[in-house]
Amino acid sequence: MIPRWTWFPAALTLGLLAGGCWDYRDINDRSLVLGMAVDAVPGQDLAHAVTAEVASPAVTSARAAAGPGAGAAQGGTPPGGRTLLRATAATSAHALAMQRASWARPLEFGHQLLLILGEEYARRGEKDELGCAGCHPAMSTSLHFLVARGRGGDFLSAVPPEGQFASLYLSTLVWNALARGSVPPTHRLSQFVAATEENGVALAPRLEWQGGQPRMAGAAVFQDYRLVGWLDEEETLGASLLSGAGRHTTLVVPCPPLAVGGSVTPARLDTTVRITYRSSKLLAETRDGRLVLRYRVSARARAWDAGCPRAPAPRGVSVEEERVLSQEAARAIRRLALLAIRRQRELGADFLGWGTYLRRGHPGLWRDLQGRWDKELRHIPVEVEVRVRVERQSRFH
Amino acid sequence: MNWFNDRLPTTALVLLLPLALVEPPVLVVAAAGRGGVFSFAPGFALATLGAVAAALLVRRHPGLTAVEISRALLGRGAGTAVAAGYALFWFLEAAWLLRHEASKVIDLLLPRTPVWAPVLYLLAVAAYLVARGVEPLGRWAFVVVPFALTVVLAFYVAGITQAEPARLADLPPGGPGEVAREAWRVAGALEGVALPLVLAGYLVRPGRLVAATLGGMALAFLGLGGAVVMVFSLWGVRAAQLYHWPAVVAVQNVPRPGLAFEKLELIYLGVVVMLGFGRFALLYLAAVLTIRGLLPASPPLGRVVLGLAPALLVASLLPPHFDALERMRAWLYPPAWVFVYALPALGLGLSHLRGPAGAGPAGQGAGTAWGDGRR
Repeated sequence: MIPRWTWFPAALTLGLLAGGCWDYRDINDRSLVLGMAVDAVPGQDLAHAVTAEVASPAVTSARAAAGPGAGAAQGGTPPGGRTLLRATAATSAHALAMQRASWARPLEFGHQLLLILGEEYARRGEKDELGCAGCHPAMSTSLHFLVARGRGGDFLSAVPPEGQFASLYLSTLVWNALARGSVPPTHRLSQFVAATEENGVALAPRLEWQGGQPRMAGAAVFQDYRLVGWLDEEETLGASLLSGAGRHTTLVVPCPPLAVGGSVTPARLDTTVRITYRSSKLLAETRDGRLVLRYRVSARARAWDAGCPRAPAPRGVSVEEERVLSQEAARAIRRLALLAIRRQRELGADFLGWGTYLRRGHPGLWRDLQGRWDKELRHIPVEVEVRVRVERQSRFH
Repeated sequence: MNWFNDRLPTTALVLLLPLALVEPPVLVVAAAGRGGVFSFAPGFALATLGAVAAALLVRRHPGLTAVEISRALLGRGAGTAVAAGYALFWFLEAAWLLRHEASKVIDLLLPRTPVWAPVLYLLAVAAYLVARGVEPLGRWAFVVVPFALTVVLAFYVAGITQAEPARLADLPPGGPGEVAREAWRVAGALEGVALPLVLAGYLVRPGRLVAATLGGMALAFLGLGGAVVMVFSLWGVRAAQLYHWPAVVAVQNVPRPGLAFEKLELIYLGVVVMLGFGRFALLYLAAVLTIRGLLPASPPLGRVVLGLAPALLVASLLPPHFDALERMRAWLYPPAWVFVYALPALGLGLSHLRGPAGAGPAGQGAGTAWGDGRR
């Protein structure tokens, strides 16, 4: 047998192998790609312009040591610890290779927060690149996938109002927009790819300039990985409400009328209603030989009454006030839902997933409609039934 | 708990079967194909039948090893040939899995490390464990498997809460024929269900073998079914096939509200590498025990382990890249159908026709070829 003493050097050697010495890299040698934007190059159909925002601890510490404003002196490099790498090539992969070659430290993509597509690039429809964007093990599939109105690289190049990295700032904007429901819930690359593979159509958060500042609201509509149109903020909210995705949304509704001393004064103020739970059910039925779709949306909400005039004490919150608020909230949801449905008909892209619903739940109907679905989609009658229960949580006198 | 040198309590199977089946879910997801859970469910049911058939066969031959059972049922010549086939099958499965687990480490953790390094590391540690016999591996499973299953199930539950259950209802376009083909492939990917055959000679009380096998399959179903449901309900059947490591990528997308650090999937990855190592060690052990049973003088276990290690190293490094490795997986399905399902079922039928051929008294575990404490 093998002598017992040999186990000690063997264990040492194995320890070295387990650690993967080849992958050791000092923090000063690391360059982390935080965000990447891909744009089309005007006049060159096959060219891709890739912009990457890179965080490099060595560069950050060197600039911090040199004092404020040192970054601005480095040939147009943005101030702070970030570096922007730009390259243009026939494919994104080639552009990335050129970036790697131009930068002294290897680029790491494991911490990438977002991927932005420029509008023109997205309209080209790069199915292979987008469909397989989540395949590369070095790139996290949980990154935010955004579509910019205009050039995506401009959003990475801009200096954020606070902090050092545009990618971090934009990532915060995504979370804020998700919290108010103004971007679609399919904000991760993997969710986008899954929705496209399932429906052929998917939504991605829209990024645009407003008053010189980046704003995250609305959605880009993709069909077979090609940008076919946009949804504004209300249409996006309507689509989210119909899909049942996400839970929390804030709606603005008119205050209930004020009843004092037998007279009723119509309210001219609005208040906010926070939806805490909602569900949406899509039903299909045939009437007179024609397919009719019916949505049943139900929600629970809370009204925070700071904005509404109130009846004087000791009268409490009346059942009637809650009923009026519930009706207004239901009306608001229905309006948003109808906006989304109208937009779907205009675009002819099934981002509400009706085709998938029929394929799964009504295969017989789907077999009949499948061949002419693009045409049918624009004309199917849809009914939306909304029930909301609003509870008032507080009173101000 | 009946722990003896070179003996396993029969209940150890309850934990060794999940160890042999839960990792890597990528095989089952790929095998399930467009059928998704519709293919997985009958495939796993078939695998459970295979495990029960192997357990019943062993129970009818208490105290005999797989090689001895084979010889008892088929005669010395044919029995030896079948046992040699089993040895080759376990060897190929072990070599494939070794390279697969090493590729996972390279792809997801150590991208600049050459593939031979994790191959050598996993092989050396597994050889150290296997050379000490089945008992240390059983004890290792008792420590690791409950912890690992708890961790992976926590991730799967968190992932499922973010998923769309309607995606599980997608029927494959090919209909029942496609589901049947994919279910058969799922069963082929679960070669670990033949484990009772390999561990036959080590079990202290073979009488409880079938119950332990069913318990092990139930635990394995929790781990494997959780992964499959999470992956297919998160992405649907088409997008799930895009990823090399679907369960790991799914865990990347599990939201972690309130957590300050983002790389939560590293915890999951650590656990699944541990489970993958355990599965490889079991397959290595299966190959070693079968070869040892075939050798006339029944040499010490350590020598067989050391003799097989270079062959495993070379075989696992043969595929030039990951795509080739994935293609090779399809070649291993037909042998799995033969050795894991057909032969145990055939053996069970034969033993019923001929009556039990056990050499030792039931429940004693005596008369095993390798139960003599030699290493």
